Amino acid sequence: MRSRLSYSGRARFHATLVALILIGTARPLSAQVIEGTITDPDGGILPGVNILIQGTDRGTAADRNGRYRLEDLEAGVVVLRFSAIGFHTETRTVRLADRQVMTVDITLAWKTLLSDEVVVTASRREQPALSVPVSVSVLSADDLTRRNMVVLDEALRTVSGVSILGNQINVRGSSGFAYNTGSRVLLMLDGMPLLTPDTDGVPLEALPASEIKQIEVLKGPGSALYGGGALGGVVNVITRDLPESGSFSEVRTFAGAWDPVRHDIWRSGWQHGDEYRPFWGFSASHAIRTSPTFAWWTSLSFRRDAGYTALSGRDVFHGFAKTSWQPAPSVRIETLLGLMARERDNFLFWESARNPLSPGRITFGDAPDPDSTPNGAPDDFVRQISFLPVVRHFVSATFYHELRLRVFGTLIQPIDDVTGERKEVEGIGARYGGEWQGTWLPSEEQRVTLGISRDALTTKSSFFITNDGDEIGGQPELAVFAHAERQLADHWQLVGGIRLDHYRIDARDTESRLSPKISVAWTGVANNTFRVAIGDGFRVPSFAERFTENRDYLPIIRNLELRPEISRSFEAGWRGVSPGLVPGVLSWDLSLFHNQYRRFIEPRLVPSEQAFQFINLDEARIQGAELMLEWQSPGARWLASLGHTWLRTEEGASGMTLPFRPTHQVVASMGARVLPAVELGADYRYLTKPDRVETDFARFVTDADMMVDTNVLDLRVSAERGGVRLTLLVQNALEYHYVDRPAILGEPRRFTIQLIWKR
Amino acid sequence: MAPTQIKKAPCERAMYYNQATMNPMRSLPLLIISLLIVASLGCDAGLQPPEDEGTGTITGKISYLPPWPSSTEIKDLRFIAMRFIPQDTTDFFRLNEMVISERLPSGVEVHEFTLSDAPVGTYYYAGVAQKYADDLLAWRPVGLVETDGGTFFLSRGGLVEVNVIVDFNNPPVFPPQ
Repeated sequence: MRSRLSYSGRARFHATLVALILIGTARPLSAQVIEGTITDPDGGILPGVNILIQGTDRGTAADRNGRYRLEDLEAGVVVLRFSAIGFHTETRTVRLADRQVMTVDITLAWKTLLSDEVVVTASRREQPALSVPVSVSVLSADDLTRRNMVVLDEALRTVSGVSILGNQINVRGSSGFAYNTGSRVLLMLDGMPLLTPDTDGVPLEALPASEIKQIEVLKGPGSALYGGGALGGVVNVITRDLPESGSFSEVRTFAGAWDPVRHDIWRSGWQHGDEYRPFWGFSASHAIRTSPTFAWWTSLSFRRDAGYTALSGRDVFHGFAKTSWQPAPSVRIETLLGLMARERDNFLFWESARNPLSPGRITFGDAPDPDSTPNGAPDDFVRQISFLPVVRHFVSATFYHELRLRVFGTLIQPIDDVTGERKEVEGIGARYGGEWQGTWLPSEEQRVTLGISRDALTTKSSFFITNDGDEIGGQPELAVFAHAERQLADHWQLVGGIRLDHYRIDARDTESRLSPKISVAWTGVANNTFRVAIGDGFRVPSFAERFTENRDYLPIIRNLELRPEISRSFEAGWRGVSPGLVPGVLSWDLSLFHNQYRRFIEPRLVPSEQAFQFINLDEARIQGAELMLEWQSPGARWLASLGHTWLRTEEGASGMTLPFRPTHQVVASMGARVLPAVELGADYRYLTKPDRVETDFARFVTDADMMVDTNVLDLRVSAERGGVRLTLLVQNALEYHYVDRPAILGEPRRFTIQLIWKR
Repeated sequence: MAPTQIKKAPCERAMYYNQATMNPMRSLPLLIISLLIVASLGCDAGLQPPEDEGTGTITGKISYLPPWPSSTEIKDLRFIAMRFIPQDTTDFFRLNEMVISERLPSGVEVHEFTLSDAPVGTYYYAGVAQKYADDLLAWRPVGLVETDGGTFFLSRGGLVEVNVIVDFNNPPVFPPQ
């Protein structure tokens, strides 16, 4: 945070540079040249490094000998930007005289994958990932770009310890599968809670993939920092920074097709089963600093996907804008505004495992009408808006505070299956609130953060019947939190946090919960952090879990007695980086964790009620271990990572495992630069079939209890030159068929071409 | 519900160790990617379509003893054959383990029906069910197949004939004893 205090100075410096560049461009073209050699810290040559003249679209790439040459440059100030995967980006500013041939040799520093990452989610502030006392995984913008990840769940599937069941995020087995209702993982956008106001589900498509700077996944309870909803972990999506000088533009486009599925009988069950089903999309963004005190970016994107099953197509539009204004040297005001509109067929469940490409019907005794649309695929049109203004005030070198407001609204309109017209609004909801947070740094070794937040949600749906019979309801929440860090002795760090949340569930019911957490980290061995953490968490049941009363799709009844679930969690971990253990750099993170839940909420068929209902189980346990390894070769030609998560779950007195949790999860990734500017990459994920699959759903939907291991390999090759990057991807290259969630076939093989242009 | 056959993928662990023990040789990336592909190609293709066990035909004759209840008391009327013995009304949710006829006509003395696509298997409980109220599960049996203890086996392409006598005033005990 201290670097932010010198922000205005840096901004002025860069603005001056831009001005100098602009002055320089006014000069006539002549024969100035810059050339040089690029090496790594060991003196090895670095081929394929991108060299860009900042503020222009001119550039080149280093040849196989690590040499580059830029000719016909204009005299004056030139800012060179050197970038390569696995290395820190370097910038050099030089002044070229008329007809000068200048040599600029560069040594790029290795970017150590884990050790150099900076995260904000672990303690509500920026800090090196190596030193945080909890488990955090980070996905960078490069990770998303090179895999053409346009939806959040595609990205999260590559994170160790994270699995996705349909649209439900599981961090170390926390959520299971509950039809994306009552997520135990809190999704945040730039620190703003982004769970849907009705179900507390995760709106995976609400985020602009092209504008993401990084995604941080906090594993384990985050309630002491972020309150209810963070019981099982936090996914914080951080949007791109604004430029400190000049402008930046980017256009992305991609197109591809779903491969017809492997089995004839599956293809024959749907009239389009033998066809390649197309998808395509584009995004355009532009960022500019218009003055030393004001900058903005905006982005528009559109995606169309025909879908690989019947009635699973979708159109998605995003518009996002971010601004930053610095009215005074110590004050910065930022706003983020996002819009999403999506029209989709919503494939809910298959007809059977012999016909998984067609949605099924649940008739409950009524004669099936062959002309009707199956109730396994209701269409809808959804609009979402998110608005996040933030005011930061740096009062002194030892104190700063910020005020954040947030609004997240959603509106759902069903679509008439026959006419295609939008019907009356079926659901509307908003989550809104704000928080104040102050941070005091009494000394170099201490940091204290205090805050208060007030949030509320309003939701209206004919599915919800509240205590007073009203369809509109809210769960206002007031919370105060404190977080303190203190450096003890030479190598000990103590971090403690506590948060008091007070919820008003409805006119008759309120809940208060105290969530403490304490962690200790020891850094007595260079490049190593040993950590221990213990904390409590909780989650208030969502509106949908408590109040849904509907029999249109499945018989679900409300449960007014549903209580918040609570947890106590313990984690011990060891994170380290060793440049010398093997050639290159090896980093690792080993975690052991134990989560004990009480009043665990799960959906169950309740015989006495003849319907599904969300109920409190007495107890549940989730424990396990996770190992993450990352390795980069000397010269960063090769990057590889491997994560293995082992889970052991147990449900209360019955001793049965919790449903829908894989015992083993493996994610592996590697990238290699085989030619200058050409990269190969592969991502692999493997999940064991859940030991227990809840069979109640299979009463209605044929083969809904059928699950298999997941075994998916994605391959890619990309080439980059002068700000243009072309990537070919084959996802699920093995054409392995699996179950994405009960009664839904996982994504089959698909082919994608992606083109990115930056300047 | 038809039994399903699911093959396992036994080769993933091999790939795991291939990744974890790699050495920094110059051609290692290509080697590992090749190994991944080769190893994975040796694995199965995951989810397979279950075997089709086939279907048979159930035909039946339903005789109704008078009097019929008023039409408001008959929200629906169907022949239902279950591949299990229901223990309570929640077992009516096991829709995938039963075969249900179209709505049966009311006010008749005798009705004959045919279910031509009934899944192969042993049916343990079959008869005519009446929906007597609007509630989703307000069903009750009003007459059962009683030949051979009510159990019959339907083979692939086979034909089973059943007889049911319906007496609305003396419905069978439910759940069955």
